Amino acid sequence: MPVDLNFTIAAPLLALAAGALLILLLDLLFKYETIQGPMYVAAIGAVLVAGWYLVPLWQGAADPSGFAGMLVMDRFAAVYGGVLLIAALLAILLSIGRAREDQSGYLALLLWAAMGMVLLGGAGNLMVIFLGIELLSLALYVMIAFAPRRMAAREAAFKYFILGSVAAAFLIFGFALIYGATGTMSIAGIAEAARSFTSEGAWAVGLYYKVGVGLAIVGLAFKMALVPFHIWAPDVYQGAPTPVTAYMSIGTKAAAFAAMARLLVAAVPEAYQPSFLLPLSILAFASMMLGASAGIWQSDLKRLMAYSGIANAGYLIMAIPGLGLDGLSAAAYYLGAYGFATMGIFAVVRILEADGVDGSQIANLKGLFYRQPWVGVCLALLFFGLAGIPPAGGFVGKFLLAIAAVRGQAWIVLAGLILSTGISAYVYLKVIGTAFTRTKEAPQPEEGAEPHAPTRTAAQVVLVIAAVGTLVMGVLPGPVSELVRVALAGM
Amino acid sequence: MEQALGAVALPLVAAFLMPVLYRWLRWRLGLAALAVAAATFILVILTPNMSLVIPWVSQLGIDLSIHVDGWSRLFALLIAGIGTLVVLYSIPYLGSREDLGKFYAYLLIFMGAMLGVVYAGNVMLLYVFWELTSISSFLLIGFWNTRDDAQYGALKAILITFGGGLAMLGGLAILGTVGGTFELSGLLANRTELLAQPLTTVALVLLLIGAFTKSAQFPFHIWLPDAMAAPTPVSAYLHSATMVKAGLFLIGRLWPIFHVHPLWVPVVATVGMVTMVVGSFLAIQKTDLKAVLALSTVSQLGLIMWLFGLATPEAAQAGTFHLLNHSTFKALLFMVVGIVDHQTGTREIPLLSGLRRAMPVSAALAMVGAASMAGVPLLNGFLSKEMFLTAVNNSSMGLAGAVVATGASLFTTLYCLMLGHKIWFGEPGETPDEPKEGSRTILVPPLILAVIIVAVGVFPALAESAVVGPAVAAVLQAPAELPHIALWHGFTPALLMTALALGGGLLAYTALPGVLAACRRVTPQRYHLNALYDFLWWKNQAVEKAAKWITNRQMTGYLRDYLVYTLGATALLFFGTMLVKGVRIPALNLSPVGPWEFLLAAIIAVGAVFTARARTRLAAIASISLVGMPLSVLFGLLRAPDLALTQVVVESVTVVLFLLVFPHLRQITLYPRRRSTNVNVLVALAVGALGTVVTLLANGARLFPPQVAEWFLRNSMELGGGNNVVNVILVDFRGFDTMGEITVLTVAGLAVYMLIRLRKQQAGGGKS
Repeated sequence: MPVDLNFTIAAPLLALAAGALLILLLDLLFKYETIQGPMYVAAIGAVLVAGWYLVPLWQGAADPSGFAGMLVMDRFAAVYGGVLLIAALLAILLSIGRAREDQSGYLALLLWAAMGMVLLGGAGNLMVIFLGIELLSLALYVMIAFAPRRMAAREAAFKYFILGSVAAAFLIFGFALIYGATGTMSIAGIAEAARSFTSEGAWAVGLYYKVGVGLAIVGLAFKMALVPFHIWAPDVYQGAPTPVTAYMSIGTKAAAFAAMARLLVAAVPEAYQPSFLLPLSILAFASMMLGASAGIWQSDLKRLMAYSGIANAGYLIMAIPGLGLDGLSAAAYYLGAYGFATMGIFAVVRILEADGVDGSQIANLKGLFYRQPWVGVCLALLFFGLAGIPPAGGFVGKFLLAIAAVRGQAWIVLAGLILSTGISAYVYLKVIGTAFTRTKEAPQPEEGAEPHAPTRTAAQVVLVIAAVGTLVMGVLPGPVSELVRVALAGM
Repeated sequence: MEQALGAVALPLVAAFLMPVLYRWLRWRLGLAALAVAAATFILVILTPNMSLVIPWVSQLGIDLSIHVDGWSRLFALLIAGIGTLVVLYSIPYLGSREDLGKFYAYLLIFMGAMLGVVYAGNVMLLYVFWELTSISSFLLIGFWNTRDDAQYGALKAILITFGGGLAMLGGLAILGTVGGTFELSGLLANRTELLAQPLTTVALVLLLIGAFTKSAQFPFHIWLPDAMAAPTPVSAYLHSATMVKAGLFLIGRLWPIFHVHPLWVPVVATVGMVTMVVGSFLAIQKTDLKAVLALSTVSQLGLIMWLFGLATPEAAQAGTFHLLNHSTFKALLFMVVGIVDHQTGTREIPLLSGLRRAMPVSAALAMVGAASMAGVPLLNGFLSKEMFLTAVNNSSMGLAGAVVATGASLFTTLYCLMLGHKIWFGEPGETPDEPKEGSRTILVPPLILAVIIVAVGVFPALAESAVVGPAVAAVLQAPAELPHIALWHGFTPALLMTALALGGGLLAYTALPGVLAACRRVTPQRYHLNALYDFLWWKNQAVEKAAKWITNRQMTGYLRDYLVYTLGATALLFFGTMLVKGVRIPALNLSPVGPWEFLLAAIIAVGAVFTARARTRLAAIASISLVGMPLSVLFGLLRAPDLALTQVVVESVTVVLFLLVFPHLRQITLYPRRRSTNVNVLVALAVGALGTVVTLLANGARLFPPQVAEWFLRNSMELGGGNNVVNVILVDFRGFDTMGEITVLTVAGLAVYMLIRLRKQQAGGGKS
């Protein structure tokens, strides 16, 4: 068997892995006090280097396929990789100022999770999809528990682990059935085989092939937190440390969506589309409605963001029905806009946490605008982004998705988009209203918590980046959407 | 083109400067805002008819395109003109105590956004500005945000208008996709193809919902009366003269495309008619002057909507003219009511009477406004009302429409008399503050409006040639023979209807208490739309409670419930799809099942049940072996001795591991049996069934040749030098994999060892 090594396309992944190993090595060789800063520098550097290696892939310069078709770092992978690396970068910045604990392990896991996510975007084989899912999940299981003295974090990690294992079981069961039907693990091979079923009318094979794809979707839908596989999200979001919540809310969703899109584009020939996409549309509709309406009654910002994430998983599915360029580029754009908005909101939580306040309590946001006007204004802008109100990027994203849905004749999801956006706008406006309500009492810091200036500065930097990103994506959508579109057109 | 861009940009940019300027200018900030508004007004006057496209997101067909025609000029003049007057009025009205920086910032944002709406040549651009007006309206209604009614009104307004806006966005997305462009001109050019598409109907309905919510049409009118919690200048500006007319603006833009659509006349005309009747009927029952004005605005907007709904050129002309007139007299009335409120400290009609002695100028102005609204000759309201009645009479609605129109006008006369007569005449009543005439500055803006009312009423040809004519032409988009607006049309049916409405109103006014009592008796007190809104969002918070219920049902916090939920959902989806699609398990090709198999299966089942119900740890371990061991026997029976051996080894190792671990865990706690246990059993069975069915579905299907196995069989001896293929694969073909696996196992073993050592150390250190 010939060996097909293509380090050009594996370079982003290798950069992340090498960064993680470097950080562990630094921790071994130097004293904790002196090495803390350099470890963050190394982590950020690893992400930047990975991004640097993504650029030629984005431009489509290199042959995207390698390792016998296992890894396909084409432009699609580069676009999603870009979104994921930005998320990783902001998450690292948000993590600055964590209490003294195993910093090196945390950062290494974060980079490995990023590696798993980028790998998912470039998966050319079912086994690679599974590998990516497990890499990011195992890293996240541990990262969620990375909060000393907090039982909630451990509980969240355990719940995520057990439920995630069930989902992984479904995923691998589905893969096995797909393999059984098509005789190949390669996604390109599956695409070819799937298109031959219709012509031959191989009914029995087609049947359990469909079941296999369905079960694989269940596994990926779990990672995206799509109803009814969303059940873990609120508890886990709430229990995890804020930077981890921020990271997984975007990273996991984007990566799982990329894998799902890749799998479905290949595995569902046009003739099968209605039978597959109807159940998926119903799940998307249910996600939007449940995510929006359950958010109404939340007093915890992180749980609220979990429900928002559930609704947004539904919005992403809007890109699926057409399975075309419109939908996928709209989804990439929407993920970017959603990512900035979410990261920024968690940065606000982190800013409050830097003062020792429990930032996830919505009640603690009261009067934020009068204490820190710019933070309040940014918060409003970011929630506008989530609600899809101009001039924030979420508006353009939702609009692009709506167009894709109209072209794909997906009326269920379009109706869901309109209804749930209305409901969630109410939810978000209530939060904004809280931040803009005047109050004399500042929120009380938790016992034993000390203000921490570097945390605040780092979080403010993230907030500014997120707010600017949201605004740019809302006001000048042209260049960004053009980039995405051109990139995906080569798929 | 610079003028149009400047008119939109100037107020928007100036708005952001207002809070900064407030620090230096304090109460003089109003003058700065006035200068901005006046400059905008001049720019609007200077703006010629034009079209301009500035590329923005061209690949999506969304550009910053500006399109100014007669229709947008009419609105722009109202927005900038009345805006200037309102800013002038607000300077003495608000005084210097309020947070003026915030107020003028919001007001100018609104002005710029509203000009953006009417100048937009691209429907998506229109939508963006449209939402911006909703937001600025929300902020202005909630300006006194410490007051409960302001919060209530602001929330209600934004919920309804934003919801409508979303429907409109959906409609625009469909329209743009079907029509192939988001440019108004392009849509207009494609109108015949557009109307042929069935989807266009969906788009139309969604767009109409957007227009109806914004223009407070029945049943979405309930937000407008509560928006009166805003300061009066805001009510005069946004909630009578301009923002609520955005819906009508959209209707005018859609008119040339859709007025031939079969749904247009029935929907738009009916909604307008119902709104006019409901609005005027409710208006007379209110005792708060601003509430009367708000509901009268609802009614008048319904009137204009009705006219555009009739889909005839002469009705469109009447609607356009009345739109202009309504803005003048309603803004005037709001300003006067604001002065009354300001000077007497109350707006309650029963408390107010005989004010004309103390406030003669205000009284005269109010009478002009009210008379114009009622349709008294020589004022602009008379002319457009006359045209309205003629248009309805000549329309397909015929006599029935004419009767309804006259009846609604009768109510209109009645509340106009309350506004123009009741509070000014009679014996002076007791008011919280001693009434006195407003200052000169506050009287100037309504005075200017009164002059316009009379001037248009006497010289209608002037208004027609300057504003109304071009606007109507832009709406019709086709040449039409229209009658000129004239003071006297002769003895027409419309004149008779006007006389009936005025006379009937006067007659009813003389018996006002009786009429009001009768009206109140037929008005539903408990089951009306506001009660529904309050039930959902405010008093009963039904929506919040429902959200709480949904959330608590699923988020129990117990992992076992989550598992049940996830697994159950999967099983439900699987079997649901099977049922819906009518999937059957294909004919099976299985070897016969003997008695031994049944016996073993029974033992496995019993073992599984015992494991789940075991009360001690040892019993649980023992019974789980009852599952594993018969399984290996089964493998043996099926002639797979290697598999059977492996299973035995795994089983033994597992038992040993369990025995090692269990002493460190807690005793099995028995919880009281919950009702959900039955659900758990069901879900467990469903998951088992799922696995079985999938296996049966996959049974016997192997279409592809087993290439990999064949390859290994062929090459095992030649390349690997061994006949035991499995061994050769492990140590030769996949030698690196095996090494990797061993490494992983070693690392994992080391990690486990470290964990155990750490635990021992901690235990030794007294920690747990």
